[in-house]
Amino acid sequence: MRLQSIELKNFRQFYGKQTLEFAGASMQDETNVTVIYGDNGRGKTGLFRALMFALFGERVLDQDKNYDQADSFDAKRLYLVNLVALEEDGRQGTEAYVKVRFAHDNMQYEMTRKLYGILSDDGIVNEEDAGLCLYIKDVTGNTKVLDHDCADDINALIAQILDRRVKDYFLFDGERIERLTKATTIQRKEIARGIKSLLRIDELFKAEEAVKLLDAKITKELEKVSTGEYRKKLQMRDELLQSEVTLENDLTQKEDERETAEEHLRLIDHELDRFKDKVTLLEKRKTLENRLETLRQHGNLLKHRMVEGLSFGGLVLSRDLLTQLYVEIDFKREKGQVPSDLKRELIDRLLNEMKCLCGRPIRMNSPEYHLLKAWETQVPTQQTQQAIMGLFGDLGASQEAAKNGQDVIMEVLRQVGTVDAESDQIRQELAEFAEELDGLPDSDFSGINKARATIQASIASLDHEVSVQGSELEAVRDQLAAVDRQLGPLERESKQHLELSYQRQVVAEAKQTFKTLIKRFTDEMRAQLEEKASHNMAKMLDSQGRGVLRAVKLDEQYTLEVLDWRDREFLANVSAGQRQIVSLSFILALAQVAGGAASLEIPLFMDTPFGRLSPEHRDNLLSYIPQVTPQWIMLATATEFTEKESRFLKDSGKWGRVYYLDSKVAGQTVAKEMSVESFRGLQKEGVTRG
Amino acid sequence: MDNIRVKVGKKYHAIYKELTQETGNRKKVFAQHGDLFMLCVALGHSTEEKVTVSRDALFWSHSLTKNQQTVLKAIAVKESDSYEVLSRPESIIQLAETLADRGMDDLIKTVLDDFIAGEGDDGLSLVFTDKDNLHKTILSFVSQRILASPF
Repeated sequence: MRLQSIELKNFRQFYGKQTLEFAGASMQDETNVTVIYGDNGRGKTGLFRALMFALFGERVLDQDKNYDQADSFDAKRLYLVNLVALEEDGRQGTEAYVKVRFAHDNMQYEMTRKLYGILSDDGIVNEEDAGLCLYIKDVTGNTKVLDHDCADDINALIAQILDRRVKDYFLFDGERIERLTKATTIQRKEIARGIKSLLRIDELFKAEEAVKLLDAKITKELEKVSTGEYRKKLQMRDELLQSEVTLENDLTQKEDERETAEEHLRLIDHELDRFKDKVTLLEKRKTLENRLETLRQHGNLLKHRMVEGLSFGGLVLSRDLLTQLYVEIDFKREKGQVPSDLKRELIDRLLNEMKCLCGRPIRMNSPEYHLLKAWETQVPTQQTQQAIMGLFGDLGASQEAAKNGQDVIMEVLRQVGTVDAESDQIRQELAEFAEELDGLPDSDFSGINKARATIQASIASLDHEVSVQGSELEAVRDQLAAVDRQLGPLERESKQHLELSYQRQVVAEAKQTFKTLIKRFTDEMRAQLEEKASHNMAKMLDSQGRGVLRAVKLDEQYTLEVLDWRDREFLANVSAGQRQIVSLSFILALAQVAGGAASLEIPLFMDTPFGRLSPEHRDNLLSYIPQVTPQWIMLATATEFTEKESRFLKDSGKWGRVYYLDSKVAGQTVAKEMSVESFRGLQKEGVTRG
Repeated sequence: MDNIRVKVGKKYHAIYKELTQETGNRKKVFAQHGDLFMLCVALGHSTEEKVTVSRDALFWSHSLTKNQQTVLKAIAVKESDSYEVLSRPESIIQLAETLADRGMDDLIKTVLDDFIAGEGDDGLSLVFTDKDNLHKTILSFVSQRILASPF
């Protein structure tokens, strides 16, 4: 694919109609580097977005996504129609489009995708697709036009030229490209599919599927027309083939479920990152909250104990009185007053009869009379004496109970005091935590952790199921191979339907051949990618990097690794600049291998490419990439692309075009083309800076 | 002791009820009427202030424990300065009723005042929740009285 031009009308920052043409548009061009030069916000990335919009209708680039805040990007708020034009046209609406002209496989293409924007009274921007159109011109000059009604055909055609799953590789953004090598399992799988498509490996898989279907069909046909043991074996084979398909589907489904769960886990981990800095505080707060709850429960139990304590209240407060009375009665007991030897009833009788026990009369106011009267008040009745003695016994027991009650009251109050003091202390600490945590709810944290544990358990369970089904699939395949071996002699013996039998044998052999072929081709492709990437890396690394890093390695999911000279996996240890070089080496290799030649067949966009690179890396990049890429479109700022870099690039002889993105009015960028010489002249004078 | 209807001041009935009832948002403070009554009797015994109220039956004396009955007898002996009262259970209870109302008045003034919502036809109404921790407040009050005791 050779990019010839991009025409934009009211697209993003590009106000009105503007066209940019690219160096290296044809094979004959000697130059192939185009520099798009401008400050941040002038629309450099907008050009790549315009290309992706025109080709795929995509509004969002991988680069838009802030992976530190996975859900923070809102595609609906990304307006493609130029806002200045929208303001001018108001409610009448504004047309915007991107027209891309390119050549591929000796064919000329012109792809146009339009959209329409309307600004409502309340300032809301509404955008909708307004059609697409693809002109294709072959070498003889015949033209074919596909419009909106043939959208599926257009998409299929574009996909053959550049698979959308790998398109993001071709905007090399130093800050974000590493993400492609650190992708999740699902993303890696998707990228791997894209790479396979780019390398045409998926065609082989499709062919293998077709052969499998053919195999099942022939087996069924044979089964219908056969008899005896031969038929039985064919039935068995058919069942095994069906089991194989079912198990394969189940296995794929389980693996997909597992990947979805892993993706979910990744999102949860991302969510947990929100709590990362505060996790210690949250855990401490949770501990304190749990302790407070324990204390609250203990407090409730103590309430029962307090009720018990209060049942002793009257008794305990009367303890002194009980003691006094006990002592008093005891004293009376010691004095013999209770129980008294004198009977009150006898005294009452003597006083009533006014006679002594000896029969002598007692006179009023005599000493005897007064003595009896004194005894009458001092000596209680028999009933009262009994009551006093009963009370005396009860007082002893009640004193003991009062002492015990007092102990209960004091102990329960001590415990309540301890609980209350600790609770107050915890509440104070929690109030301080609340300030530090700034209202971060604990429920979220614990809820997310619970969800995480559930997903982890689900992944473990799926792993187990995948492993079991994998074994079952192996067993079915073994049985299938055994049945195939038994079928050979039976086929010869039965001599039934020789043609169909022969077809079955051929298809079975073809299946095996495809398996071997795919393995060999995939390995070969990976080896080629590794070789090219290692070569690219060696060309672009500085001398120090070359001394450490030997080769690029790819696993089956096309995930990058880099080996040092002792063949150790070393990617985790390389610098940010070296990592960029490794990534770029792989992308170049991918395009080189996909192109089937030493030269790339896909233009390479590079956004602010020199940020993390050492001077030697930068110089290597400037001299090497123009040699291996058909087109290099460099999106650069003044701080990155200085007079030194521009001199180096000019000396390479590959620099063909330069556009200066100028903006006199906010929201309106004008792409001014100038010659390399005049650009360098301005650059020397410092006019382009700022 | 015979089983006698124990009366307390009508105006205090609601307080007895509130402090011995468990509701949705609070636990009971006293297990039964007798426990609160006994506390009030003991408090009333140590105060001189007299209270004039009309009384109504609240509970039966048999619900009092043996120890509580002993306390009532001891207080009756002290108050009447005679052991003869021991053979007159009605008098013991009557004396206790007088002291209990006196003690309740003391308890209201020193502890429960903040929770008295007003006085209506049903007497004084007490409003509190578990958070008010009345258990602790009353028990602390009792413990202070214990510590203030000379012996």
